[in-house]
Amino acid sequence: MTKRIRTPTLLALLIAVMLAGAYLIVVKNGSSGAAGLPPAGVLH
Amino acid sequence: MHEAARRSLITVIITAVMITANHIYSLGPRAFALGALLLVGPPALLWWFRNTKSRIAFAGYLLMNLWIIVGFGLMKGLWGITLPLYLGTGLASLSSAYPKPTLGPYGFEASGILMFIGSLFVAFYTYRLVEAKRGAAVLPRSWARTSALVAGVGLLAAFVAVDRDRWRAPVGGVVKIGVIVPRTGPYTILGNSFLKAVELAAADLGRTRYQYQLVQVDVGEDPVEARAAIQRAIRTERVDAIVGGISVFGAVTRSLASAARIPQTCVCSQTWIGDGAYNFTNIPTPDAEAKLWVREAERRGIRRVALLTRDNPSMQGHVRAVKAEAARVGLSISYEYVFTDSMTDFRPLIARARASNPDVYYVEAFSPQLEILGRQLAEAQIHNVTSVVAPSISVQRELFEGAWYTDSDLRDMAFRARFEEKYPGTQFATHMMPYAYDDFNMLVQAFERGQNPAVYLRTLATYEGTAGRLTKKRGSGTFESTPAVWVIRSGKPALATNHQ
Repeated sequence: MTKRIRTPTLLALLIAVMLAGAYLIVVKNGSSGAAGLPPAGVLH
Repeated sequence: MHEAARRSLITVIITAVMITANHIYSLGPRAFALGALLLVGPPALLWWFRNTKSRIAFAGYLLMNLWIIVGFGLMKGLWGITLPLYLGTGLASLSSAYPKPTLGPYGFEASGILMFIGSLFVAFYTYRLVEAKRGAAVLPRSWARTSALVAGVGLLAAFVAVDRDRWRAPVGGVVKIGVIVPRTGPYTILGNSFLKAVELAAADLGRTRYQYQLVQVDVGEDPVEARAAIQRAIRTERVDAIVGGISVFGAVTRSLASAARIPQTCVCSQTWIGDGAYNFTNIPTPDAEAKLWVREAERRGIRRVALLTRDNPSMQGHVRAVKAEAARVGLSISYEYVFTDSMTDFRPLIARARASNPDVYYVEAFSPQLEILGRQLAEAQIHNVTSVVAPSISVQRELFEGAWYTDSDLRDMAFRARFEEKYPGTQFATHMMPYAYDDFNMLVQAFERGQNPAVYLRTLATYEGTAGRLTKKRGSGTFESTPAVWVIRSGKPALATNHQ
């Protein structure tokens, strides 16, 4: 029973940590636009 | 069986939502069509199987799951997004042999990660569904776990091996360098003299280990058409590296050079183009130009500025930086107008700018608009004109007699003399030529040293160029240099007497 509860909790925590880490990396390295496209509005 | 099917379907639906969210960034509204297919297809196939026990329906459901797991989960989610984001960023921080990954907005990256995680759940519950249908394990449990572990470690090792940029000797000893500049339209002067500067650099090479062949790519005026020309140079001509100029085209080249994993050095003022992985800009930054411009304006006692400028990204980059620096020191903008390439009658603007009582008129445009504007300013008896770079690229510099502006600091005047002697009919654009010459030589240095050119540029911190010392911070894609104040005297650019 404990394992049944623990596994989803751990998975949710792991996903949250991954998403938070991704946020930090994107903020630190800077986004360059989706799929390598230049930021919107630059090439008008 | 029902429970396994229900769980499998739930994971497919959740993952399909993630896939749709992720593809909005690349497909736009068409992503919803993809989402509809993924949301409707699997439940329909499962319903068909449940009612008829059709093998075709079950095989179709498994194939759709395979598409989600391999195509979206592993290839896009894991290989294309998750591994570059975490492992790629980590490797790039450890060694310059690895490129900094090109990242999208957070929503794109996060949905990509969730797309991968979702596909793992899809894989797990599809496996369970197959087991339930067979009524027996597909593989012994320990085998299944070991195979998953081996596949995971194998993928990580493959990424580490593939992500590394390695030296490859040029085919047949010939290094092909693409020279990507427009040679028609408003950029004719800059493009042609840029090309000549690179040709001069190639002609100046002494004995070299490799032969250097220039592949000229005229990108025209339209960035969309430019994309096709650049793609041809990369795929058909198989260029080994790119020297380019003008931000509008450098921006188009950026993603193509990254995808081909070849370096682009760009004489581009839009510093975001330099990603420090495969793209590097080399020209005084708009901020550096603006700092010097405002310092000179203060020295001349200027308090109010009128801005008449073209809606060009590079020019508006200068304008933004000048306005920010002016605001910082308390210089006021008395009038501002950003015009399009179709404008030819500037007189109403000039009248409105004059009514704002500026101390100086800041102008930026390309030929022939620049000359039209210069002529109409002169007709209005306005001679207190200033700029960043523009008078230097005018085909009628005499229209801007007495105008002061900031531009690259050409310390090696002999370079300009040699250029003008070799190409007497070609205008020397101080703004770009020294950097075009240096960019070519930096790439040559990389090949002569037997180093991957992108890796070489990543590690290069200083370079003694024809327009002074270039410096680049670790991890940056911007070679920085100091501009100088110039004045048009007797129809020619001359360094200002207060130049240090």
